[in-house]
Amino acid sequence: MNYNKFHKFIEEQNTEEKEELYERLKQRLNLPEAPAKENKNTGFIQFFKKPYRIIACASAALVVLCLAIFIPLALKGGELAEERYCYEKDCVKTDIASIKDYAEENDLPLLYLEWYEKGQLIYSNLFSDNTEKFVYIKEKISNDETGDLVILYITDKNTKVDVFEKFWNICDIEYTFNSNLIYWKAQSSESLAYFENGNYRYFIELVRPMSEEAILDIVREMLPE
Amino acid sequence: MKKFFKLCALSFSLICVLIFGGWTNGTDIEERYADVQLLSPAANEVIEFSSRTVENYYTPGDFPYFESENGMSNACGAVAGAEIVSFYDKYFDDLIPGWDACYPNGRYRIQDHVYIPAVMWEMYELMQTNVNAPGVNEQEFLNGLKAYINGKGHSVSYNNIVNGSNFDFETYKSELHNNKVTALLAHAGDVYFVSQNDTQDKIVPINIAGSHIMVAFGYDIYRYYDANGNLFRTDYYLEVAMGMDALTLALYKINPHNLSAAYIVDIK
Repeated sequence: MNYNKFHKFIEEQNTEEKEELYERLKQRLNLPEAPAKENKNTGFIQFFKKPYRIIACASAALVVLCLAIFIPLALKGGELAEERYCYEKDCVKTDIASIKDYAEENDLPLLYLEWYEKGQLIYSNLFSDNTEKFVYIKEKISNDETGDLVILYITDKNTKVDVFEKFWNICDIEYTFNSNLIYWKAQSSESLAYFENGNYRYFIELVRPMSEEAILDIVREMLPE
Repeated sequence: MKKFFKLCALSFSLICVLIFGGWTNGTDIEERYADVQLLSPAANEVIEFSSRTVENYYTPGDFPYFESENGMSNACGAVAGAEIVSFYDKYFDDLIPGWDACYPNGRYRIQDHVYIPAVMWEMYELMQTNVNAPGVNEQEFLNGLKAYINGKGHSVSYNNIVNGSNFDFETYKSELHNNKVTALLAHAGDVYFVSQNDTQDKIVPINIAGSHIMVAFGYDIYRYYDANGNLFRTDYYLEVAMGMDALTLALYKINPHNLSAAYIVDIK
């Protein structure tokens, strides 16, 4: 069909009649509506026409992706794990041979007093929660040469137990040894101290100390050089 | 008629209450000494002062600190009894045959895995621990300890220095200096740690949530003075072996005290 012949005829008419003629022509020829002209000056695509914007957005997306991957890994490592408070009465107590044996069997870098040959191990207990998760270790040991009696507790840095309350309440003197910060207090009946090493927290009770700084001798004996 | 019956019912109820009340008041509920929980009360006490003195004494060589053996329950009586005889074994070495009560440097030994468990189990049975009811009562503790001492060929006398709210500290102090220790039969209450500083002391309480038997072998007297040198407070503490896994040694305050009895034990 020669659309142009009609088109030319209509174009030579005046405006009002032209519009009417165009409308009649469309109806008779069943022509679709002419597509709207594209506005090329706005929109998502227009935004990314600049190369530097593409680079900036890609960089930001990469940073977000990295954070999404590495933050959970860091949290899982335990550095930011949630603290818990436990009660000794709620723990399950089991006997272990000694802290030394427990550390070797489980490949853990635990500190202990090497008095097993020159003293007496009264007991060594592992305290777990009701899911069998480690809460703390307690070891009572004496030194037959000096008569010193020491109670040693070990827990991880994210765990607090009610039996440690007296250490936090009493140990208000600070002492540094080999970059380890130690909190301690000497009393006539017993001396107390606590410190952190690696991922663990250590609490030491020395019954009837023979000198004011005897507890620090015990701590120095435990810490690696 | 209705009113009459109501009056009768009320009178009958009143009579029953009076009778029952009289009966229960006349029947003391027996105190028994058994396993107890340790609780950490939230509040410490802080005492501020200009100066402070501490008068301290404990028995030569300190004291043998024991705790109950695996398999024992409510054993504070047996543990206290074993500590007492081990203390006196230094002076009468046949109280625990074969046991050397002190280290070479003179300090009391802590428990071993042979001799002291045997003594403890014997005390446990002689005191009839958990037989009539959980733990022991006062008579079972005293009788069991006496039976052990007599069985070793020695005699024992008990002197109770508690009379109501009064604790005879002078007698306690005098006997302590004669190497006599005291068995404390305590109601539920607090023991303490005192954290000393230059111008303030922190009194840290630990609550013993039940009746408990422990042994006193020393004392600490804290005297606090203000800026004018006036004595404004005096605290009397006994040094006590707690006989517990969770707590070895603590201070027991006697002004005021919460004791049922305090028996100075004299073995001959």
